[in-house]
Amino acid sequence: MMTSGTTLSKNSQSKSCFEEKKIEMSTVEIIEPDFEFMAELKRMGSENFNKCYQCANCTAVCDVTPEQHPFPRKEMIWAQWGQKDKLIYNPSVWLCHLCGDCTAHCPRDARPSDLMAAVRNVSYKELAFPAILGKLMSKPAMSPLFYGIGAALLAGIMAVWNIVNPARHPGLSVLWNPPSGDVIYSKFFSIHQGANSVANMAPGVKVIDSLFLPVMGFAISMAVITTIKMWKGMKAHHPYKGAVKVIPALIGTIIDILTHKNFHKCKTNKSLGFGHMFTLWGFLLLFVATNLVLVFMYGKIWFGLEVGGPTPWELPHIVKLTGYGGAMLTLLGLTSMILRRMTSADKLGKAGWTDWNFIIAIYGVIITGILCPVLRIGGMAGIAYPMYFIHLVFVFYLLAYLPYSKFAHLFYRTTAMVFAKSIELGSKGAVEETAPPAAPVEEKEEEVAA
Amino acid sequence: MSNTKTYICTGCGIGECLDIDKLKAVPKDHSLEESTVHPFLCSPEGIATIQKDVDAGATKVVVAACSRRVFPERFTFGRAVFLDRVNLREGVTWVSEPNTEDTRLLAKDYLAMGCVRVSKGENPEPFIADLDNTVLVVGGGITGLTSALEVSKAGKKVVLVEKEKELGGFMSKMKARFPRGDGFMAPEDTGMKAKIDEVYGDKNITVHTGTVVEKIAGQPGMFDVTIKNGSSDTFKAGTIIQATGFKPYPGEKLGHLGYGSTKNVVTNAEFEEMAATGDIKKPTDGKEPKTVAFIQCAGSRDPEHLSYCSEFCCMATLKHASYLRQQNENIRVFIIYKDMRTPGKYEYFYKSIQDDDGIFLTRGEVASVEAGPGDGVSITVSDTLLGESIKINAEMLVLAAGMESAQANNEEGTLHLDYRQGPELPGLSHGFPDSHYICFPYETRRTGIYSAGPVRHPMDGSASEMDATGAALKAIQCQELSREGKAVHPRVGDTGYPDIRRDSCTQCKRCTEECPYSMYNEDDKSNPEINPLRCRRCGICMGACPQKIISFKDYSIDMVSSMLRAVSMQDEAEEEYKTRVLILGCENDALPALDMIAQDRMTKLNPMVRILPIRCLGSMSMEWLNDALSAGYDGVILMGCAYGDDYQCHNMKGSELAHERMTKLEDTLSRMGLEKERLLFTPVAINDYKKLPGIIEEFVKQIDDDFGHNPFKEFAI
Repeated sequence: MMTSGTTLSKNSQSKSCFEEKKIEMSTVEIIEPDFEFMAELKRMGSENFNKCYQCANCTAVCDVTPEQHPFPRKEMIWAQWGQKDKLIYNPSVWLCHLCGDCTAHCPRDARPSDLMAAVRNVSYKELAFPAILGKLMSKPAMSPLFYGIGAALLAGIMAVWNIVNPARHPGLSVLWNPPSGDVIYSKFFSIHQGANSVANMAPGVKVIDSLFLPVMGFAISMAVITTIKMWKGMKAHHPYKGAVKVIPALIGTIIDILTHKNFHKCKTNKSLGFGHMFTLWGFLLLFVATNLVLVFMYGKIWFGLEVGGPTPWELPHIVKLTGYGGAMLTLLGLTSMILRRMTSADKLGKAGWTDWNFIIAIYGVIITGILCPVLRIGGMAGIAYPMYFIHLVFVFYLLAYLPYSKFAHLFYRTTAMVFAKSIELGSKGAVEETAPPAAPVEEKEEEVAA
Repeated sequence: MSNTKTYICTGCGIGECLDIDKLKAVPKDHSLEESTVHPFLCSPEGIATIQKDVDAGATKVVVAACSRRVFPERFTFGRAVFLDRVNLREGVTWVSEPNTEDTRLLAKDYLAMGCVRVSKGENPEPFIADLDNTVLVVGGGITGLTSALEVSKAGKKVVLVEKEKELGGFMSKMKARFPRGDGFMAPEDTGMKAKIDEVYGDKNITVHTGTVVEKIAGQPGMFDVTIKNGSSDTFKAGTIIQATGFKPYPGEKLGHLGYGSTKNVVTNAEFEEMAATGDIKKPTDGKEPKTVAFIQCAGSRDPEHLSYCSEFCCMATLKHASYLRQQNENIRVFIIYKDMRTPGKYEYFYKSIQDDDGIFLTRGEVASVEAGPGDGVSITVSDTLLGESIKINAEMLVLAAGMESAQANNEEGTLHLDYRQGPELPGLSHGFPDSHYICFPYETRRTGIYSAGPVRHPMDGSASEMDATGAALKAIQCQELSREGKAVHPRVGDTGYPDIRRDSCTQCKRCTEECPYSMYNEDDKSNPEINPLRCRRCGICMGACPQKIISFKDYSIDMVSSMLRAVSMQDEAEEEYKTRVLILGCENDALPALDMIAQDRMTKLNPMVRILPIRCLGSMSMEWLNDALSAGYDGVILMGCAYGDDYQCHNMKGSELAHERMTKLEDTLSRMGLEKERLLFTPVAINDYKKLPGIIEEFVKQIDDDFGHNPFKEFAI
């Protein structure tokens, strides 16, 4: 007799919750949520991370996330469980470009990109050394003080040079008693004598450098300390413990940054990538302009090279070209980003103080930087000299507090990108190295066949 | 004039497929008049044609048209008329090559079978008795109270029996119940006090607390119920609702999760009790815990404990978390789950809990529970959503345990039925009494007794209330049908019941043992005693009886034997034997499946098969197999529902019993010199209907290729 047709198989029963699992008990961490950190994330702009139910739509739609250790799904539950160190020392937070693709596709309105931004804001505040500066910078009320410090130091240094050499350095009185004749900003710091030349500019620039070079030295030192701290933290918290390839990763990262290769993958806020790229290139041009001045000036002083020509430079002088070009690009890029952010806060998240603080400083630098030559050419000495002073105060603010403001993403993101890329390269290498050589196997098969 | 009339409908393609002139003469072979041919028999004119003959005295009618599952209410002519439907449309026209000899023979055979059937049967007389209207509700928790109130609202009397001193059950001992309205956002008052007051204030409801059921005898409409509260008391009841609730899975069995061995570990039931009587405090020192962990599926979905999901524990834990957060917003709650199951709108409550900063949720597998710092607990969890194994230290641990049916492993019993097959409802899957979960979820295997609430399936308060309402409906429906002598599911409205020729009974007890509904009791001498109102008319007793003494007025061994013998074994010229395969098809799934093949009109069925619908495969008598083979059939297919743990048989064991009987025929077959492969058992699920033509085709081909014609064919003719 036969039995045919369909037979119902018994439902396979679920595995026991107590099934033997190989867990290295000693390595299991005790989980203790950091409630203050969770509250901080909410204050810093991620109000909805609790809503996440781990569907991982966010990670699936993200075009920027790497295949291994993808984000931002895991960041969401780390936030829900108050895992501060895991989040702070997490390259993903910086690999993310806050384009909002994840937030647009989140079925629960948990806004993952808000969380990524919030973690970064907490990093600006707490990660940089010394942390007290970050904390103070995060308070809007402290902003006048920080600008005041810049103004005071600038005024102080002018006063000091005035005492050292009153003949060449008129001191602060220039601000209310402008020198006669054409507006020439080197008069700000030194009484103009003889023909306009780079050499005549030099004493004034020295005044600026005597403040700004130490300030830059401080900012860069703190940034380096913070970068090392961050690198160590990421290494300690990342599950990958194998070889890393830093140099090729660094080269790749620089190319990625210049081309904004990853940023352009974002769909929801496509224009944001271009806005950011213009801003970056604008900054790079300004950086070039600043350094050209240094080259021309110190080239003359130390080596007697006449490369810059007489000042004040006018278009199409290379310094002015790069300077104005940089300013325009930055203004364009930044304005487009701000407009985008203000018109689509639902997609990008609301801008917080960290964002505005940075934006105000850049705008300050750029607007005053554009006004300076305009006022100069217009011969409005009474406004021009104070405008130049204000310009320098904004520049001071931007550079001196770099590690504690949003500007710090310059090295946080670069470090994270290098870290992620070096791990990616390292783990690929490891796979290749451990792969068994194919040739002997083939030989054996041939032997068997023979 | 003969009192038997036959009709052939030529609509729906029947007329184009068959030689109607030849077909209408078939009844003459059975000493009947030629068939009346009508182009549209289900039309008012067609029905009127039949009605005219009925009015003129026809008592037996054969309608050869569409399947009997089409328009059953139109082709009904009162109890005086015994009617058979011959399936010319789905059974012949829509599955066969038109106007071939094989198709003609198929139609001819089916019409002949119809003529034989009406000659062998008559409409049964219903069992009518004076029946009681009362509904007995056993259990006074939320389910029992709801059932009682619903029955009362329908105007029936209720007797409510509760073994505890107070009404209310588990629900009334709770602090709050799951959210229902207001966006399903917050736990609600249980409302049990009002419900209990309503029951006490209801004139239709008589309440007996501190009382147990001592004995229930009889059948629907005439149950004799004995209750005991100190002294015993007996009364009549029509139908019964069993609402005896659940037992929380005991913490003592959850030692592997720290219960008993680790301090400050409690079950969710204990936690609820604690919450209902005051603030949550640590059992060790009576202080408020700062951190509380919950382990979901504690002993659930675990083959060593309860292998099923109890459906309520996830919601219970989320509710408990909300208790803690309300008690003190500084208490932190950790919840470790396998899958969070918050069906329907409970999802909103789950979302509101997710939004709470102080509640930490992760999926994970609990790897160990051990004593933690202080008097706390340390839980190691693997496979978490955090991407790694974690350890959680908490001051208190709650094990979210599931529910068992109050009836499971209950030695005391609750119903104490005076039934041949035992005193309680049969416990099926995991001890829950159920009958046919898919097709009639409210039925049980004891007619007129309905289980409701968590006693029959794990469920929460709201689901229990719904279930209680459903059971109230079924209890009333059963009373109404019983009053007219009619069956409940699956043969709703059938008025027949078994007739036994007692003088030939050998007291073998097969009928009393195999009846899925325990319809039979036994007298002192082990003779079967019929309780017609318990009967569901499946015919399993008929198939079981080796003496062949059980029959129904409209369904008997002789009737089916005669029908299968009415089939042609040769071609029309009587020159050549034809392959014949008999399909005994269950009317519940096989018949609809075969109709569906026809209604698709995509596939042809092999024209050598003859389909004979029977009630349940369990009603199959071995006699029919013997008769089929000796009548010259080359093979027989038993087509019935799947059986086993996930049975689909509407009468639970029918197809299994038929398969068993078929197996026993092996010896007989070898005596007859026939191959055992000539018999095939095919379980069929309705959704598998498309496979049937292939199975049939393959079987017929195998018979033709491997075995050839049944040698008994020539003796049969």
